[in-house]
Amino acid sequence: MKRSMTRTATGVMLSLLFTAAAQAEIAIVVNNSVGLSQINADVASDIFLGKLDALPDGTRMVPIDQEDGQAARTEFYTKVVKKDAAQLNAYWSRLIFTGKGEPPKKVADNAEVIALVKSNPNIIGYVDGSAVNSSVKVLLRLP
Amino acid sequence: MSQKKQLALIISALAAMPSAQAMTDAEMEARFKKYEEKIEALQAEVKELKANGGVVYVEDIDKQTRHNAKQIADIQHKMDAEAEKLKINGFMTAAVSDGDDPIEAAHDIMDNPNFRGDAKAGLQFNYKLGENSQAVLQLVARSHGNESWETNAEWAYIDYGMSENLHARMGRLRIPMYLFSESIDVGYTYPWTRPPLEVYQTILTSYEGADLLYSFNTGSVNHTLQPFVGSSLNNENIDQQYDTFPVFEGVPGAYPPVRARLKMDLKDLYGISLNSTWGNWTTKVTAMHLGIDGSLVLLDGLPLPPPLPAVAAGEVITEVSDNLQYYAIGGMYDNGSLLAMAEVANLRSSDYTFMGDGVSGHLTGGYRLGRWMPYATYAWAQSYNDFNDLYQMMGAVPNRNMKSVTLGVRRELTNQLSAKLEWVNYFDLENNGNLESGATSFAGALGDDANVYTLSLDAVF
Repeated sequence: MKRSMTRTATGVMLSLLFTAAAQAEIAIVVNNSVGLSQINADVASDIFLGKLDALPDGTRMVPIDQEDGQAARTEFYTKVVKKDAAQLNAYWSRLIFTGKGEPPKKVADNAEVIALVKSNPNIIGYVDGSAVNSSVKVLLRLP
Repeated sequence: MSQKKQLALIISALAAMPSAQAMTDAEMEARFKKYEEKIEALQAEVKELKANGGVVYVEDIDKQTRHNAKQIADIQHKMDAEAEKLKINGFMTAAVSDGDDPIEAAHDIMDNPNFRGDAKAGLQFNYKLGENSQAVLQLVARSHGNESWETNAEWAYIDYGMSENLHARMGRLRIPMYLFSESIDVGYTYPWTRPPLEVYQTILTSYEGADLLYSFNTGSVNHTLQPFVGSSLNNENIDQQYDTFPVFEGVPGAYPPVRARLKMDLKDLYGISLNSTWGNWTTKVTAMHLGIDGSLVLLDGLPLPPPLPAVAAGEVITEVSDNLQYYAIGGMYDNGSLLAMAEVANLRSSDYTFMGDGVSGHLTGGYRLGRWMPYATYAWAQSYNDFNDLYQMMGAVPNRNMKSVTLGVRRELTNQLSAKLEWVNYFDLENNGNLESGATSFAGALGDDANVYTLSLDAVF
């Protein structure tokens, strides 16, 4: 009895751990001066793929990416853009080699995104949910 | 401050710094070093002060240290900005193909394994000339069937951005005919080892001229409208060898084999393309006009029985001109797992002196399973209007009739490298002509069908 309970407890803990690892929250952030309070994932995706250059209310937006290998980057492209790294490369290659677009500029990590967004009213970024503070505005949270 | 001004500020801060502020790498290195030395000295001082209980100054020194660190970061950003003015991207395809008949074509498919036909390498240089403007050069090297590799500028243009949404480009450009026409050399961008020949082998892919790129949104649909105008003169890419020259058929006497070259001036090129994307959907509609002046020129002198005078090398045997109208419509759905594509093109000729009317198209489907994507394509090309002066002169058959079924699988080896293994069965090949530039001539494939197997590696970097 005791043994099976221990096993169950271990199982629950393990599944919690995995859930936590697989479900790091991702937040789309903009400057506090932005009037809009919410966008959907499609709009965020279109902005980061260079298909849209403004929020639905007309505010121009320049997306800021994070370096390859950052956990937030993987999460963002999986959950919001729904493309893996190879698909993303194929997408941008088609634009780069036809002179029709360039991928967003990259910064090092969550902290740099927050710092840029905080001081620029026209920059949109994504960060890990835990990196969000009151200096920026969250337009979308995805668990 | 207006939004536009703010945006301009951000972009200039993010991207190229004005060249007046530019420093050489050596200068930056020197400054770096200086600041680093300063920091080290300060750190040593702090340590000493701490050891001696001199806490009073520690805070000041910490401040100074932080300030210096910030300056180093600023310099780093400036260096990055300089580097960002010039961007170099590249792509490469290494491939081996094997057909059960030799197929004389741009892809040089033989009846034994051939590593040359599809191999190519490209480098693209983008140099930023201002906020929205750049100079772009894309060099592509390949060998086709020749012994040596040749490097050509497939793109070479100045892109002047009047705004983020309106760009004017002039120089050497690509015709935006089909979904992948403009990236046809970059194998990594499409599922196949080579896009369906029935559709993608057209008389012209690059031209000298100008286009406009105007992007706008209607709701959440993003459009790019692309009008273009230009020409491509002095094309000399089709040589024919005649063992029995058609016009002398039946004339008594023996004639040596002669070679003739088709010269083409492609002019009065103008058209417009609309590319639209909405979520997982992409559509492309293109209309284009092309004027052709062609002449068939003898490369060898042709001795004729007296009293006929010999025909000298360089003599023009026949001249033709025609006006072609191309229409194409294509759609693609890609949700990350399912990929579906359909493209149809229609060609209309005004005089039928050069080629007949025709339709072509393909249907393609693929499904991604992790790093694998099996795909299948059905493609066809059908020509009408059999009579054709030039073809009769060349002794060729005017029609371009072919169909194919393709089965393949693409595997992502890394995030920048994919491998594709593909089998194509071409069928209904009877009456297949070979006029179109680089088109597949199934001259060697005397039967009604041909199999081609290809393994390719496609990389972008």
